[in-house]
Amino acid sequence: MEYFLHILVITGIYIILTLSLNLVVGYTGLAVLGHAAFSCMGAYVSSLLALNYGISPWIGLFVGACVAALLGVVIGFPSLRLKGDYLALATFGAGVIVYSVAKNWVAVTRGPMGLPGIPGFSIFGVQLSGVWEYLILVAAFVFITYFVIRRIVKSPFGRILRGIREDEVAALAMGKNINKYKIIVFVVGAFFAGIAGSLYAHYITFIDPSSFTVMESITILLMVVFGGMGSLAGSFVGAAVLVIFPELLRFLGMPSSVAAPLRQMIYGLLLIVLMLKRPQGILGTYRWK
Amino acid sequence: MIEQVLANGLIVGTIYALTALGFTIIYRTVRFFHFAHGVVYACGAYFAYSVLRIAYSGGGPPLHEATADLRYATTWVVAIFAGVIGAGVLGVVIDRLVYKPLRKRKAPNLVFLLASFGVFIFIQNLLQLIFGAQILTIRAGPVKEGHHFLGAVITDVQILILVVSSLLSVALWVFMQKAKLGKAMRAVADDRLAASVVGINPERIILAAFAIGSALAGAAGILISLETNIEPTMGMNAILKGIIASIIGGIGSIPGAMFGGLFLGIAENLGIWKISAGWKDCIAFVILIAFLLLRPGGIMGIKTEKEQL
Amino acid sequence: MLLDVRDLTARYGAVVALKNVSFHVGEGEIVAMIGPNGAGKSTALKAVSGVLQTTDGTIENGKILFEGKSIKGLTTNELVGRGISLAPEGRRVFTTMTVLENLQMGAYKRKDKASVSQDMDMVLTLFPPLKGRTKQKACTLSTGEQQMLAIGRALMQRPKILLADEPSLGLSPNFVELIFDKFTEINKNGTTILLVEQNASEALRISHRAYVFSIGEIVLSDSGRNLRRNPDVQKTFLGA
Repeated sequence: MEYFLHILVITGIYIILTLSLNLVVGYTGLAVLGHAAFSCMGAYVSSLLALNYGISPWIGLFVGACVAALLGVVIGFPSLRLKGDYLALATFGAGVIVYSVAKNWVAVTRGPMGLPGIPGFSIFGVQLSGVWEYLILVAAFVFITYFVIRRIVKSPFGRILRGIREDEVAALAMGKNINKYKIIVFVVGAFFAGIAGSLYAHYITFIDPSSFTVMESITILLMVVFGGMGSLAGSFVGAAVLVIFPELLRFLGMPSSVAAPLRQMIYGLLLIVLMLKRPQGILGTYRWK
Repeated sequence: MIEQVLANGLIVGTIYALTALGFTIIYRTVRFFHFAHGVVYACGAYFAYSVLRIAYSGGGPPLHEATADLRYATTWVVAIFAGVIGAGVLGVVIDRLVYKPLRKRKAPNLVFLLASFGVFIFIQNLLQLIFGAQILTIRAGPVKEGHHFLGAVITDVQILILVVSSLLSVALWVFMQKAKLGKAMRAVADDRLAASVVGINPERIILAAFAIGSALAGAAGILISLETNIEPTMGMNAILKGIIASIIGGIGSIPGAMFGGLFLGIAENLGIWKISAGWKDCIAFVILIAFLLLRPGGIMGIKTEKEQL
Repeated sequence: MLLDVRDLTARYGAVVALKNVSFHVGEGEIVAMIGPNGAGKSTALKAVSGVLQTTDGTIENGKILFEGKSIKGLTTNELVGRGISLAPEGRRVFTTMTVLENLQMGAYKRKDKASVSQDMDMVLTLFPPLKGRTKQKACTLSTGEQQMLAIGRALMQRPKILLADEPSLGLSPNFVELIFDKFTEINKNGTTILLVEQNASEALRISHRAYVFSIGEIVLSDSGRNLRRNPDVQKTFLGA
């Protein structure tokens, strides 16, 4: 039972990641491949503040998210000029660079050894200890994320985002400052990814660079694509299926040397089949002309 | 010391160049990033390894000893054949099964890119499933003493890599310039409609591009395996370096790909020399992003698609 | 009749661009298709030349017969084998190749080397501006020269019929007249021509017959001379 709840917590964290990436990729049509860089930022900032300076995880979470948002600006600005494949490549590169820093700047991040003993959250001096409590915490953040992003996409702002996705030249012709919108979605997406990273760090109490690899970024992207680009409900589905499904594999009793690559093979196959048969994902409506 | 750094950079650079060449030939004809090219490269090495493994599993000398002995030349030829041709076939299969249907549907580039990722992830993990995550090798026996040349030490194997890579690159360039198929490939890369106007069947040319480009990737994979280990993740590194080299040189340019590969190899090794080896990938990507922002046309100043708009 | 098109209907998605149009081209003729923008004339040529299916267009209905055999649905490169050459809209020369290489590419499908070089000389004589520029890259040519190159490249296939899509587009006025004079010359040498043109007066000047398109249909069809004299045509297209 506890294991099941643990899976739900992880699912919740991935839902936040998927929703935030969906805003950038699904609604605005920007090919962003390094999303794990933002959760990495949030996780490490939050953890280091707690471990080195005793700062409360609540503040750490917020600071971490802000730093991640800042990273979003740093990555977002140069990306304004890049299109399609080049944007994907550059954001991929950003993901690799952040991962490299986490892995090699051993003085600060302890590199591959990671950061153990990260303090958990506490409310009014009472430490959150059970999985149940973290589940409620994560669920709360899931809803906050959902409602914020939902407000954005349902508003006139959101309509412009979709305009950018459909035809950037036309959107430009309408006199909108496209760049402003792109930066904003980058920042918002990064902010919430940072939150997800912090939640993960304080829940698991240990992080290392291997949680924020490029494969992670691609997995989150797969969740967005599978659930449906431009569908918020789809993000819930995508995250849930792609987190829970590998766990089911575990019950089949395969050795991990088989289960691990098999799981990835299924992801790969899923991506291929999706693109060939149903690129709009399970619940998405986005189709190119 | 710097001579050694440059020598190492040059050697790995020629392999980057070869990978970039194959990637570029394909990119020119289909105009999207065929990310799965990396896993075709890995398969070249694995196919060759498989042939050697099968040949020596029947009670012959252990693999690493056998590969050192040129008496087993025929087995080696078969292994290389398997690797190069196998890679070429694999590339074509990927195109026909995945990309061609998407082309028919006029899918946007993002869909091609994602599909390519899917193929990459699938095959890379299939390799891991079959061969395990452990490190394999086709290295030729104990490392012989290298030759001293202009202040650096180069082994026989490294010379072989240098010579073969360079020959293949030059051969490809000549092919593109003089051979009828090569000219047709340049035509399709230039303007697909114009190519069909003169009677060229673009689909056939795309197939040729995948066949040749993938065969080159297979060759590169085998060459690098003479120096380093074979592991399932080798393709990821290769394709990233291949793409970066292509962009540095100017995407779509064949001499650019060659130059970009050498440049990247040397820059990386200079970087490792001054900073630690763990930062190697970081350095490569910083160079990439610098080029993307400051000189997207690469060294050769190729007009990228967005500039042509 | 070399080319016979009957009841052709074509659309781009939901938009019908051609409604049951019929036209034909006889051997040795110059036939023009004129009309305002969006009238469907370019769509008609693209349907015949196999270009329509590479865009978002589809041929819904109709017959397209060349020398009595159906060519509907054939791709542009397959049509080359039937003797149909295209000088496409926007010229589409190989910008990374030289003038000479462009012309050589025109002969891609031909096996007879000797007559290929003969034809090369013929094309260079036909278009003197190209003669001095054989080693230059096509991207350095002016638009008018590129149009010559596109037509020359098509002629290298020794086609039975030459299709030209908006040849005057983007050309300076003196080049326009020159190109159309060349069409007359090419036709005198035995090549049938079907062209689509914005520039009605030039098109009518040289063509034996012409079709006037409007909103997806053919509204007038007559000899070039008669159409030039037609008061409606004069008012709409010839600025009278």
